[in-house]
Amino acid sequence: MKKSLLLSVVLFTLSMPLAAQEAEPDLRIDTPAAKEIRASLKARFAQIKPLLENGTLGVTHEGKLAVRDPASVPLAERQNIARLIAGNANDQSALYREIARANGHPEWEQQIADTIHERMRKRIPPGWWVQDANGKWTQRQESPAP
Amino acid sequence: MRKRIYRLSALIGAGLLSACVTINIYFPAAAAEKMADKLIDDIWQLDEPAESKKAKEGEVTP
Repeated sequence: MKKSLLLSVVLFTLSMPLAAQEAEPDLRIDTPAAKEIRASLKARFAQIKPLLENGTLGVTHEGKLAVRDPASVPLAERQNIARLIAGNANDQSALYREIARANGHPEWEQQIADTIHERMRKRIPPGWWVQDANGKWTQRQESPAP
Repeated sequence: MRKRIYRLSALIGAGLLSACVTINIYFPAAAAEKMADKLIDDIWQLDEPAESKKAKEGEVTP
């Protein structure tokens, strides 16, 4: 009698999170505010992309942009590059905050950021530089498996 | 009769407890990943150039 009671309790408890998992609704990113920030990120990315491709900029472990070797950046370009980095970071924070808010959970902001940064790290194209958690820069060699 | 009531109470108790945990802490990880990919596709536009490049080289896109 005791064994079957324990089994019933365990099975019933385990079934709850499994049932909830199947019912995950999409997270929306299409509010007017989110669309505006996405457009801003996309427009700025046109300037950022060549800098990532030529190795001037790299992606940090936290999904932000950083100059890999500050001494190698020409003086004339430093201010613009600093502006690109800061603008990108501000837009990213604003977007994560807006996505969390738009989906009814402002407290999800950090987890949303973490999820996005994790996917970014996995999908960084070959040729770009990426920094690991210890601060070491490596160049992505070949396309990772999806 | 008492054993049956205890059993029922234990089941309901366990169910309520797990439901509380599920509602308060549950972050939709799968939906978040899907959303992240959508965002990355939109902003980095990685898929387009890769696909057109593969088409040029004659590879089959997975």
